[in-house]
Amino acid sequence: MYSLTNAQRSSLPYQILLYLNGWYFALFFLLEIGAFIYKARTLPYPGNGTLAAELILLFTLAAVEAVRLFFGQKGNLTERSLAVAICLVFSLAAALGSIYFLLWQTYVLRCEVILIAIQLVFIGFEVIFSIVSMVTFARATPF
Amino acid sequence: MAVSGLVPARFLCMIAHLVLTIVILLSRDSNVKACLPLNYSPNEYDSKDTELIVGLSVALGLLVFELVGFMGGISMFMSSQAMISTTLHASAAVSLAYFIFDAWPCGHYWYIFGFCSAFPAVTEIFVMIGSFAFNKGI
Repeated sequence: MYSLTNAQRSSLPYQILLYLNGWYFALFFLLEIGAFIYKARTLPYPGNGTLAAELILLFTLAAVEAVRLFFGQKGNLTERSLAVAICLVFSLAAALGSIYFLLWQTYVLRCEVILIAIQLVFIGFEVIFSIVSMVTFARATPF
Repeated sequence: MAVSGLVPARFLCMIAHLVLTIVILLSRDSNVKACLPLNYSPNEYDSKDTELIVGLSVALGLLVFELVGFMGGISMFMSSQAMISTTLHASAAVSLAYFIFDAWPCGHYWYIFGFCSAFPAVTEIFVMIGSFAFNKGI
């Protein structure tokens, strides 16, 4: 598989997934903020700061997602296992945050269920590809 | 770098179309009622309902097929296919939003299906045939 001149081990499908997931999460974030505006206007929230907590969680999720995608892309391009491992740890947190919005938040819209499902499909594929590329990068350098 | 904005634009339009198709699939009741007469039998309702389900499922299949061709890199950097796909999926997203909110009769769905799901899928098939059989690419 590897020739003498071309020893590139970065995974192209993984890179495509991370790139498109960045764009998808931007759309997801905007739509989720729209959904929160809609829910706050039309539905009665309990007064003990639930809405604020969920919004803070949404922004935290965006920060986690940015860090995850950054480390995934840089780790894949520079062929470092450690950065991809950090991406893997952060994707656990991102998956848990998404599952919170899917199952445990106060009101779940049908549109949100679909959007979060697509996000979880992305995270699942990226976990698989990140494990594969970690194993590939941890091997001895082919030359 | 001229292509760089084209790839995410096409992807997001396809995702918007995908999400709206699933939303209609889950809440199609008012659209089915809109294309039935005032007094209808359960039999008529079921036949119209099945019609809409079949259309939406085929549209979902075509969208997944096109997403595979796109994310697999076959047509990702093909600007003519990107233009067709972006414009048609964007207009599909807009018209499907009207389809839900204004409760269009379910027969109107077939126009959206024909122009905005089937047509880009057919051009995608041509791109795939050209890429695999004739090595025309990228």
